[in-house]
Order: sequence, then structure tokens, then C-alpha cells
Amino acid sequence: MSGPIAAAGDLLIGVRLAVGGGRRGWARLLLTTLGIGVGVAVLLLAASVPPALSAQQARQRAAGYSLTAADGAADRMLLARDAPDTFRGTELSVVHVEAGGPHAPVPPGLDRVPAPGEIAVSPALADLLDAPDAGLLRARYPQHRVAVIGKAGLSGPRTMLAYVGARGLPRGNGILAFGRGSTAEISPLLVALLVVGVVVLLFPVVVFVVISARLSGSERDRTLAAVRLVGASAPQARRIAAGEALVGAVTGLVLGAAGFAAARPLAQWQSFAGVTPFADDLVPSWPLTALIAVAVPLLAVVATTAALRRTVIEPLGVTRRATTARRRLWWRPVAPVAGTVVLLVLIRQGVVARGADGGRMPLVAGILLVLMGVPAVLPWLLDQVLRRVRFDTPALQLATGRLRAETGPPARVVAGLGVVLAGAIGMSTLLAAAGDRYQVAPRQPAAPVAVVQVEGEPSAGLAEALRRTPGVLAAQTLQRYEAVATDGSGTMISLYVAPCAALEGVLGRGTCRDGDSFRARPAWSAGDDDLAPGAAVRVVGTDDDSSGGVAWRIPRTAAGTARAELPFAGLLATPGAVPDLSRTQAFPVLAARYDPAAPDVEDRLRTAATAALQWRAHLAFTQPVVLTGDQKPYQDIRRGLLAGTLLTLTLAATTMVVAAAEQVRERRRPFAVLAATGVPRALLARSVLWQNAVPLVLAVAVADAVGVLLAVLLLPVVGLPVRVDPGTVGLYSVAAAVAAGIATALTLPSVVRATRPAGLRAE
Amino acid sequence: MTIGATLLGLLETGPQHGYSLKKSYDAHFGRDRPLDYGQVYATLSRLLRDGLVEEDGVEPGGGPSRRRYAITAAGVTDVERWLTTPERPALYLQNTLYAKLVLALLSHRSPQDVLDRQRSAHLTTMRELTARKRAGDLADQLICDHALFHLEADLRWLELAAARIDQLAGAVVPPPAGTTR
Amino acid sequence: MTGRTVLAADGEAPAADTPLLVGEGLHKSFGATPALCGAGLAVRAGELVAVMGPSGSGKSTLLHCLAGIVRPEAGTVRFRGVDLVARSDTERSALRRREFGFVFQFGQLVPELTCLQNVALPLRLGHVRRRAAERAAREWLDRLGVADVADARPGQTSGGQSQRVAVARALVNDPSVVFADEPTGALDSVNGELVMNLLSDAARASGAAVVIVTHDARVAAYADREIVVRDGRSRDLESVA
Repeated sequence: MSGPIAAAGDLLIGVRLAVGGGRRGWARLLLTTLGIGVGVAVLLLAASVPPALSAQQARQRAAGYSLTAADGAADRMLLARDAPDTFRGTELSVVHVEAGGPHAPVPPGLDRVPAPGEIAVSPALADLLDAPDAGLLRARYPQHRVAVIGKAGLSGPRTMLAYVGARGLPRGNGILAFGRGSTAEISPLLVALLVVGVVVLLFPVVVFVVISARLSGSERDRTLAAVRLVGASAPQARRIAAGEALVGAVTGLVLGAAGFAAARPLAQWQSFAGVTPFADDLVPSWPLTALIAVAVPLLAVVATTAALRRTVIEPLGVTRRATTARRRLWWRPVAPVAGTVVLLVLIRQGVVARGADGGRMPLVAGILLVLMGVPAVLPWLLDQVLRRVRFDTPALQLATGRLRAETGPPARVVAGLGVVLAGAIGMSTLLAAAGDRYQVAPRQPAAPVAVVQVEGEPSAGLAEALRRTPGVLAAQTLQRYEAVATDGSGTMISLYVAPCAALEGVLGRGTCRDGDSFRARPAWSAGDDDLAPGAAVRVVGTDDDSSGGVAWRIPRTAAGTARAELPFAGLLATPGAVPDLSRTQAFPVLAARYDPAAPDVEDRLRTAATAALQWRAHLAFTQPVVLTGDQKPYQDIRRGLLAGTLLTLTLAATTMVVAAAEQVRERRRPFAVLAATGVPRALLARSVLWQNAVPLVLAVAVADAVGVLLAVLLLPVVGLPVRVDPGTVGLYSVAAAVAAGIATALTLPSVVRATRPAGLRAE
Repeated sequence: MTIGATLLGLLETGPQHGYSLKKSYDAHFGRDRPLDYGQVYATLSRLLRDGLVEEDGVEPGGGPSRRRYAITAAGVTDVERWLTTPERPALYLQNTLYAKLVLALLSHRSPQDVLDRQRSAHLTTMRELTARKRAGDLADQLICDHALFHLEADLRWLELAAARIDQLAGAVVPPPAGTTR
Repeated sequence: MTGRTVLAADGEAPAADTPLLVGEGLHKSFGATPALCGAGLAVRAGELVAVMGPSGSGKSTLLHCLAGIVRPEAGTVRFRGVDLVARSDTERSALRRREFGFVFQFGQLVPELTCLQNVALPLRLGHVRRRAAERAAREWLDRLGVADVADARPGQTSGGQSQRVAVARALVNDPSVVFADEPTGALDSVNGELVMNLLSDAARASGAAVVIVTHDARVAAYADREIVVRDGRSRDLESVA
């Protein structure tokens, strides 16, 4: 009997060893399973994000469209008008559609084009409309709801989209086919944040997988030495150890897969980079899944057998342990130095800051390499400290003596914590710097004005309806023209003409004389006057004939003009200030000044305008805060990453507890003897504390250094100024120390148990 | 026969008067019980009669104290045989064993050999006792156990002596001042 | 078992009175500490040899060299005429599995397996089927009077019981030589005697030679002859007498 059958037999012996260990064996197996399970779940999640994103992007593209003006294909065109809306801060995508003919394309997710008076909404928008306090929104869209948009037409479960059937949309502006949309790009800063976050989560999980696989190392050493004594050859012993490790790896795989499947539906509640994935979309790609299913057990097995080298050589390896070789220094800084070089190159190239695609892989590689500096340098540092520093008190002597005997395992345990810490420092520095960019303090305008531009004939009662809206102080009709510079530069400025009374209402000023004119600038505008007083212009109307028009000169604006808080830049003039424009076709707009403190006043205005005019009304509000497209994803990423860091820190602390308890258990006989001979229990407890504290302090120091290095490198990579906040570094370090302190405190009961007189009994 | 053997062994290192022989014996072995002259001369007479010693010279004044004795070839053979024959394992052997050790050292023989031979004899006896114990009834077992434990004690002392041989050698062997053999 | 003939064919065919296992001129140091300085031992088939000596004398190391667990720096170890020192680790492991049995003072049984599985382990490592291996194991446990702890783990048994389980394990694969290192060191007199009785009876019944390292003379009294190890050198007491 030889070959694979024999090898399988050896593996089975290992399996038997893993499963038959009694309570302690089960505890060990459980911990390994947990560690590997978490790792697998996170890996599966990471593997399913690209397919989800691409599915979502595919749907975005499918639902996207471009408006063309093909005249000859009127009956194959779906006339459309975008009318984005906002309700209570939530953005809604509203598209008014009208079929140009029987062959007009149908929007994806629908069976047919909504007829006038009908509306099709996405499920999330349907929920919003059905909410009891959404009366204003329902009034805005009183159409009959005929359909709910199917998944094919939505980018995510939280998409707010509506197709409104309209009549009278201007011909010549429509959709010939769906599927030509473009997808949103994520800014390079967010990419960097994402990468750091994922690495911070995954890397320590890998470390934990390795550590859990190597739990109870010395017990396993002894067992395998006994097996070797009885006559197992070295490869046989390795196979047995591999079999033992495989059990934990396989159960971990199963648990991880189950955890991933269970957590998938929860993803609906958490939006990610601005879009929420459908649970169905979170399917890891087959090649990656297979890779995970193979790589994780392989990693566990390799981690275990790599630790066996010394035992396998000598079946009596446990009793005769040569002094550990001095740790070499030269290879350790290679990884972080390489990572630093990569990131420096990225900074010089500016690739990532510009958002180009090519920078992503080197960015990931650079961050990984720098973070690897922590587990690379830590064992050497611990070794050096233990060699050179003299520890005098008995508790310290006990602790450092034990550490010296085996510097590997304690360094590994805190290395995981160190990586999390370094990553968290790097990440939070990035977040803090990004936050400056994304969080502009909103400043409410004191006397804002909303402007309604109406296509076609303005509704007769619109001004009156606006005036009746609670919170509106004045609503007036203005005539809009464009004043185009005659010097051929193409610079233009809007010109709004209305009688004095109307202007007074809009501007909220008391004094106005015919012949006055005023400048309007939005509050956020920097005040760049493109057309100075005295510039020669031609005034044109809606026929947009710049060659024609009435000649004019930009007048000096009235002295003492306060900056009107209008949502547009332009000139407001009384009829007396402008030439005769009776033959120029104006574009009527309504301006309504309102009290921002009135409840829901903006939504009421929107409803008043939209209910009457639907697609023909465009509202503009004075918004000093411009939410860039990145704001929402930034918030989501921030939340997600911080939650992930917390989770990983907890994992790290748990591993510390386990490792520390393991240490105490291994030394329970010496502890019992010491306690029996009169050494105070408090001293033994302190020695355990020091045993954890010394590596931890070093780990925090190294992690701080690496984290700051990472932050200092990453900020220029994404184009932000370098600025490190020592408060953050200190906070995280203290948090890590506290976590470790709690971990040690949790092991104290086992110290108490070990020092009981019963511990003196031989096994 | 032990005193005779001891005296013979002492004579092997060189001819001596009866008087100095007694002094020598007392110094090495007679801590508690110094040998009395009567016993010395009686033993010497017997050894003389048996041809193991011979008179080497007489001092003027006569009397046994003035005779010098030397060992004969037969005596040397006898000492050799005595030293190389292990004692029958019994209780309270240590005086004899100790004497053998010292004499071996004095005569530059290997004390380890003495010890090892004795160990072998002891172990053989213990082997017999163990076999008897396994075949016997409870009474036999108890008796054999008793003997076994005592023999073990002897052997432990032998081990200790072996470990202390160097110290013993330093205390016993006189500094090299030319002891001819 | 075919293993034996293969090994015998490798060297000269052993004559009837040629020792089964011979170690000569063995030298071994651990770091700066010399453990063996030219010790040796010859064991004939079926005999019981005791290796005695003070602690630190190197007797355990001598045993380890003879059993092929440790490679000496100089000297030869021949089993059935075949030199073990030159053999690879795999071959020596196979030899240990098929021809040798071990009874140590502590820590030889695998705590995660039951006593029955522990006894069956050498057979299982030799790829004997589980049922057959466990059947043989049960027989041996019976013979040594510890059948009742077959399904318990070693940690749950008393010292005497676990040593008897160890003896069962040492004998289950019908070895040519059993190596015992202070097998009764952790036991009281009664248990120690019981274990020695069983070990010597069982070994004689199956024709196995036994090399037993001990500092206890009453244990050595079970042997046919003794050698003494002092300061890394060995001495056969037979040759002295």
C-alpha cells in the first residue's frame, strides 16, 4: 500500500488528532474555524464586489441614454426631458417621456412607455411616495402609478427613478435607443481610501488565519514528537500535521461561506461608494471563489507545517531545544522600503491624483508593502530589546525570560494588531484630510430667492400659486434676455427686466427708481465680472440670434446695491435702463423670495411649480453648499471603513486573549510551583501583564511609525496636502493599548486557576 | 580474614615494622577502634606461618616490635586475589569494601574495577532474589524485597563511592615520595 | 513482516550468536557538552540488558543512538548487520516503526487519542487497516490488564495504567528490540514492579530483546546483564568479573 492511499491515511490520522482532543481540542478547533471563517467571509465579500459593481454599471449603461435631435426618425424616437428633483434632501431622477411613434424605445424595466398622466417609479421611490408625510411629493406627481420599474432598469435597490408620461414635449429631442449611458467614475481619493481599508481588513485577517492555525504550537510539537518517536517518518509527520490543519481550514471555509451568504442581504442596507448593490449581484466570480477555496486551506496547512521544521528533525525535539539563532535584520526593511519607493514614484507621476486607471495596482502593491513593514520588523525589534535592555524586577524578569525563550509567537500576535493600527492611522489621516474637502459648512442664505424658468407659455396662475405658498414673501414675473458682448469673445450675461415694483419685491429693497439696474451674484460666486460696466453688448431673446439684437451698453449698477441672493448671475434692470426690447422675444421667469425658516418651504415651492407645469418648469435655488458627487460615497466609505477597523481591532484583541491564555496554560505547572513556594500571585499576574505589554508597546510604536509613514506618502499620492494629526495617532494607540489591557485582564482568571495548589499535581 | 588481608595489603606498599603497620592501619581504618598490638602481632605471625610475609630484618633489641616484615610473592598474589574477588553480598559490608578501595588506591590499582566487580556480584544476587520473588508466595516476596532493598542501598553507596573516587584518591594516596613496589 | 528480510539481506547474514544490535565507539555532543565519548553496547536476540549509571552519564543518549533516533557524530550502530548511522531519516523512522518499541518515563502517548488508538498508532502508521490494528491493540491491552481504559484518553488514566498502555504500544508491532528509558521512574514500587513484571514477561514471550536504561538497581535486577555508563563511556560488567 503506497502512494496516495497511504498519504490519505496519514491525513486521516491528522484529522483524528484534530477532532479527538477533548474539550481543549474542540476549543482550539473552534477558534481556528472562527479565524479562518472570518477571513473567508471577508475574502468572498471582496471577491464579489467587482462583479456587483460591473453588474450595476451594466445596468446603468443599459438605462442610460443620450438625447439626439434626429428629425427624420420621429416615430422611432422616445421624446424625453430630464427634470431632476429633490425632496427633503433626497435626490430624485425624473424623466418625462412621450412616445414619438409606435416604434419608440421602451425604457428598461418597463413593459411600455407611460402614457400622459401615467407614472412609473422605482421601488424605493414608490416607498417614498407612499410614506405618510410625503403629501408634498404626491402632490408634485399626481399621475396615476401604472408600473414599478424592474431591476433591469435600476442601478441599485435604493435608486430613485421615475418615468412620467408627458404630452407636448418638444419634437426633435429624444432617445433613439437606451444603452448609451456613461458610468460614474469614483475619484482617486476614494479609491485610495477603499484600498487602504480593504488591506487593513484583509491583511490582519490573513495574519489571524496563520496564528489560529498555529495555536497550541508546543502541544502540537509534543504530540508530533511522540508520533515521530513511534516511527513516523518526517514527511508522514508533516502529512499528519497537515491533516490536522485541514480540519480547521475546511470548517472555516464552510463557516465563512455560510457567514457570507447570511450577510449578503444585509448589504442592501449599506450603500457602498454611492450605490447600493442588490444582494443578488453579490456573487463572487467563479475563478476567485475557487482560488479562495484552495488558497485558504493551503495557507493554513503551510502555516502549520512551516512551524514544524524543528520538531520534525528530531523526535526528541521538545526536550532538546538549541538556542534560537539571532534574528537577521537585513531582509526586514525590504518590504516597507520597496513600498515607499512605489508610492514615491506614484507621487511623482501624479497618476493616481489624476484619476487615471493605471495607478491602481501599484497603489495597492505600495500600501501592502509598507504595511508589511510591521510584521517584518517587529520580531527583530523585540529580540533586540530583550537582548539589550536589563529588566530588574522579578515580574519583569519572569516575563522577559519567557519572551526570550520564544520571541516568535508573541511578536506574531501583536503584529496583527500593529497592522490594523498602522492601517487605521493611515486611513483616518486620509479621511480627515478628505473631510476638509468634502465638508463645507453650509451657510443658509438670509433672504433666498427661487427662480422658476418656464418653457413655453407660463401657466396663468403660477405666480399667484407661488405667492400663496406659505413662506413665500414675494413672487414676480421677470423677462429674461441675454446680453452678448460684441467684441466677439462670446461672453454673455443674463438680463432680467421688470418694473420697479416687481424688482423691489424680488430684491427685498424699498427704493427703486425707473432706470435703476442691479447686479445679481450667487453667494458662492467669487465675483468675477465678465462684463464690466460700459461694455458694448447686444441684447437677444429666445430666438437666440446673436447677430441681431438690440445694441446696449452695460450700465453702472445702482450705488449701494446689496448682493442679492439669487441663484443666478446676471443683471436686473428696470425698463428705463434698457433700450426698446419690444421686438425681442423674452423668456419669462418667475422669481419668488421666501423665508428659509418656513417649514418645507423649498419643497412647497417645488410642488407648486411642478404640479402645475411638470416638465416645463425648472427651479433654481440659492444653494451655498455644493454637494459634489462624491459627498455621499465619502460618508458611506467612512462609515464602512471605520466599522471594519473596529471589527478587526476586536478580532486582534481576541487573538491576544487567546494567545495569552494559551501561554498561561502552558506554564501552569511552573506557576503553580512558584505560587506554592511563596511567590505572590499578584507578581505572577504582573508578569503575565508584562509579557503582553512589552511586545505590545513595541508593536504600537512600530505601527505608529508605519502608519504615519503611510499617511505621509498617501496624501500626496491622491493630491492632498500633507498634514498629520498627532491627536489621531495618539487616540488609536491608546485604543490599541486599552484593547490589549482588557485582553490581559481577561486572562487573569486563568492565572488564578493555574496558581491554585491543585495545579501542583502531576498530570 | 579481613584484618589480615588489610595488613597484607598495607605491606604491599613496602616493608614495615609492626609498630608502623599498626599506626598506618589506625590512620586509614581504625578511627573508632584502634588495633591493639596483640592482634597485630598475632595476625603477622599467622601471615608469616602461611608464607604470605617474611621477615625482612631485625633491629637490635629483639621483640616483635623490632622486626621488619615484607610481603612475599605469595602474599602479593593473595592480595591481588582478595582485591579482585567481590565479597558475598551481605549486610554491613562497607568496612571491607572501603578497605579494598583504599588499598586499591594505595597500590595504584583501579578502584573502579573493585567497585564494578562488587556491583556485578550484587546485581547477580539481586537477580536471583527477583526471580525467587516472582515464583514465591507472599512471605517469600516480603523477605526477598527486604533483601533487595538493602542490596540496593549497598549499590547506591557503591555508586556514591565511585563518584567520590577522586576525592578519596586525594585523601589517601601519599604524595609521590618514591614508594617502590 | 517483509521489512525484516529486506534489512537482513542488506548486510551479511547474521550468524546465530551474532548480536542483534551493536553500537560501537559512539560519540555525541550537544553543543559544547559531550554526552557520549566512545560508548557502545551489544544486544543479543531475546536478552534483557540494563544500562545503568549516574544522571548525566549519557545513558539516555546511548539509547537514542542505538534506536536510531539520534545520529551519533562518530561510531557505528548495526542492526542485523546493517549500519543505521548512514541511513536516511525516513529509513530509520521505518525501522523504528517495524522493529523497535519504546517505553519512556513521560510524555510518549498522544494526549488527543484514546489509549486504544495510541496502541494502534504504530500499526496505523504502517498503513495497516484500522480494524486489524485496533484488534491487535485490544489484545495487547488485555494482556497487560488495562483493557478497561481502552476508550479513555491518557490524561484520564493513572500513571501505572498509562505506562502499561505504553508497554502495549511498544509490543503491538512485534518488535525485535524494546527500548525503555526509566519506565518506572514516575511510579511507586508496587506499580513499578507490576510494569516490570509485565514488560519482561511479555518481551520474553514474544522473543523481543529489551534495552532498559535505569538508575534503579531493583529494575536492573530484571535484566540478564548490565552495563554501566560513566562520563560518556560504557562498561560491560560481565567483562569485569
